[in-house]
Amino acid sequence: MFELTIAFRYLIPRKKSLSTALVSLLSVVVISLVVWLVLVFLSVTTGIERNWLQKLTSLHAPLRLTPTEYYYNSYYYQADVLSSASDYSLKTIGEKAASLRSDPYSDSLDAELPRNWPSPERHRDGQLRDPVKETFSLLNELKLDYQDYEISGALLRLTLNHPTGMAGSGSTLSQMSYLLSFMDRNPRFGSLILPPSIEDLNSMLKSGEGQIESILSNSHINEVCVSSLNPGLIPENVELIAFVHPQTPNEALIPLDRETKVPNGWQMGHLSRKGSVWQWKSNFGKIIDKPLIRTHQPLTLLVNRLIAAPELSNVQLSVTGTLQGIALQNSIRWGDATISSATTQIKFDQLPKLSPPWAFEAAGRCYLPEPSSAGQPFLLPKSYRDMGVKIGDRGTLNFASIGAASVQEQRIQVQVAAFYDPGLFSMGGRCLIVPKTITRTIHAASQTFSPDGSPTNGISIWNGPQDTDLLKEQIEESLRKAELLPYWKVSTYKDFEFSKELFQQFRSDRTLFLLIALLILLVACCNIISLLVLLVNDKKREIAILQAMGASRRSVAAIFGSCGLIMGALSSVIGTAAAIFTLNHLDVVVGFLSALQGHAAFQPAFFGQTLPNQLSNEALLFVFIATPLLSLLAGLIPALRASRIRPSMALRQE
Amino acid sequence: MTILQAEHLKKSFFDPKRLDVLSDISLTLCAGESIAICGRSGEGKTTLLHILGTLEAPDSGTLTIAKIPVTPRNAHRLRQQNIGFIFQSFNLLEDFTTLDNVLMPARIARLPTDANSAAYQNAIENLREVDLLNRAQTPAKLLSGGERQRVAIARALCNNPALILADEPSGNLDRANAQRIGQLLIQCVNVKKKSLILATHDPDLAALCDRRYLLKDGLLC
Repeated sequence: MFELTIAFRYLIPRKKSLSTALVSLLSVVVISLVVWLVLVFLSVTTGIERNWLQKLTSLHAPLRLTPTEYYYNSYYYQADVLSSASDYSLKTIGEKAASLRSDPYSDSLDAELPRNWPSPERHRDGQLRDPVKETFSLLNELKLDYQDYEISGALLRLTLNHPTGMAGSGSTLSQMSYLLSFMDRNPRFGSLILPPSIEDLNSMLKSGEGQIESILSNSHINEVCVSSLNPGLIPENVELIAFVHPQTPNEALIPLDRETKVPNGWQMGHLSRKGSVWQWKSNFGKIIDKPLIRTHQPLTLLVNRLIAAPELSNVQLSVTGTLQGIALQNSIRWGDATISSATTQIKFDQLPKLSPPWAFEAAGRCYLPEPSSAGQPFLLPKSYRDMGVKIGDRGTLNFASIGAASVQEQRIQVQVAAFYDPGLFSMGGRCLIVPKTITRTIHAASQTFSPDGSPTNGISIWNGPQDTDLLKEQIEESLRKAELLPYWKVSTYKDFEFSKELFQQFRSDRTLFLLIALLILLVACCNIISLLVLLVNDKKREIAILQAMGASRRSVAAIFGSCGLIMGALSSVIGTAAAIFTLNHLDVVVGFLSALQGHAAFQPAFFGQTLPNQLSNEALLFVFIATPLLSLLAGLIPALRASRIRPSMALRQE
Repeated sequence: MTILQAEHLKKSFFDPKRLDVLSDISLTLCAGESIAICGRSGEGKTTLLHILGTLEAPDSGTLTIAKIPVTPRNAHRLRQQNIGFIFQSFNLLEDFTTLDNVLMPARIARLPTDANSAAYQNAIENLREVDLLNRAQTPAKLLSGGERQRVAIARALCNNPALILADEPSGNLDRANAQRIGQLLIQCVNVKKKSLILATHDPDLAALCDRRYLLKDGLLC
């Protein structure tokens, strides 16, 4: 196309048309900036939304089946209240699925059914319909990953025994909490479990009787810190600088380096070892028999090998390190060592021989540690970690048990098994993951409903979150065919009460920004109009020459339209390259913005620890369609003006 | 065969008074025929040439080129296929090379212009005839006046048009160059058997044409 060739030539900056070149450069820079901004913003917000959705659907599943009023009013559900076989209590979906009898009511053993009692729904063969078991088998036929869930509420009281954290030693933390049953078949829950921190490990080692081996065998200890120095670590005939206080002559304080200043009231001397005898040389040389040697600050030692033992004091460490420039190497007992660097394992290919005392994932399923005398294991949202809670901390879940004449407070002993990331949803900070036995106990005692008013139990379906709407239709169709649809409400993550508003807010924010971006882009593209008007004026004679050679008006318009299109495409490419570069160095940008404002530019509680930095395909599509299109439209106005130039007039002006 | 037929062409300008530039022009041009239109400056030679070349529409009258009546819709196509222009001020595309300029009419007509194409070979041949083959890749802005007009002649012949319209082709050249260009133009037209309408006030150049007209008071005589 000769139009494109000419358009390219016209856009190459030339000395004689400096003003055109400057306007052209300005247009490209402005549009590139807008493209960059749109891409970065949309990529980050899309990434945040994706992460949020991933966490939401990992915890609550993309699809849920919840019982309808029809289910709760059915004879099938109500029969348990009058049946001795059901202990006269309503059953959850999980209990219904596990029960051997669909109809627990016995004419001979149980009281007579009231008159207004719902009539049982039966199959043609007279068998009572069992909507739970039938639905489970239907979901099996559809080859879906599913599991029933139960929700309950209780008051959590946690005892904090750590001197660190916001709460002091021995303080209690109370919080009304929302309990979600632990779903071991949830294929994505493992991604939400946070590995134990160094503080968790140290805390567990200090208080975890009988768990030392399982803790150490499922962790890799890289470094430990010690304060009291094992004499065996220090080579013989080596002189160390040490401080000694006249009142405690048996205690030597060894600085980590030789330049450390002597504390007030202390004396400096030199310490060396001959066999098991320490030699203390100061102004008044003295031999110390059984010295207590401490380091001035904790000394970090690199752990090369660790031999676990049931008792912490028997754990052997093969360590290396340096003290005052002297290499240390020996095998020591754990002593007062604290872990300063370690990695813990929470994902296993197979079930580990010695299970860790924290929640973990093995072969695609999630596991809680075995219940101990300290209580039932449970998971806390990660916000509790900031409050000083550690894995292994103990507490109780308190709930009211409604009896015939009184309301009694009941307690269940619990122990923190792990922290998890609840993502961003309104109940996230108060949602505890507990074993199903706890939710059932609370349900049986008080028939509570969840704090947000959603039903206390249902079925989570893990397939998705792509094509959830299609899957929802398929499930509804299958339930309809099996005449089970009246019992269930099928909802996707878009309908969940606790996340619906946030989800809609995300969408509307993005739409609003897209509109603003479009507007800014339009304004930026208006620069192209000024540029091309200048260009048309500049090239009037050439337009006339081309027309004299047979170029049609459409061809002339196409030349200037192409100029707009080329500038739009070029700006898109430059803006995209800049956006990719920015996204790859997003931490630097966030750091700069934070430094500029004097506080964190993006709150981790809302945005996560790091901002997503993947280029959004949706944003890229928007930019690569909207920018050239708007540029083309902007180019059309001067293009039409160019096409109306009368060649005879333009040629005559020469 | 008639290549151009103009009947009762009229053209007036209002600037600000009405000025009848062409009062009643009728002209017939056969294939291979050359005519010269002489006249003083401002008599309307360029206007007549623009109208005959379909660059401008007459106020009244009819124009037929290659037996096709000219309308605003087909004007550009008739120019592409039948007409080659040579202007007094050369009118080359400054940002392009000599060869690109010569090939431009073929590109506008969407003809293939790769090295094996007929249009390309024709352009090379035309450049050779005007003795500028060695300057094929030179940017047009670096050419001298005489060279530019020779490129313009080669460009006018690019699409093998039946009619060449030349408006004072030697007007901006010195005498020696003007003579050379005039002779070259006539030679090219004769060799390639093209029709030529030449607007000039150079009597020597006009003498080389088959017929000569004087444009005066809007009439050809």
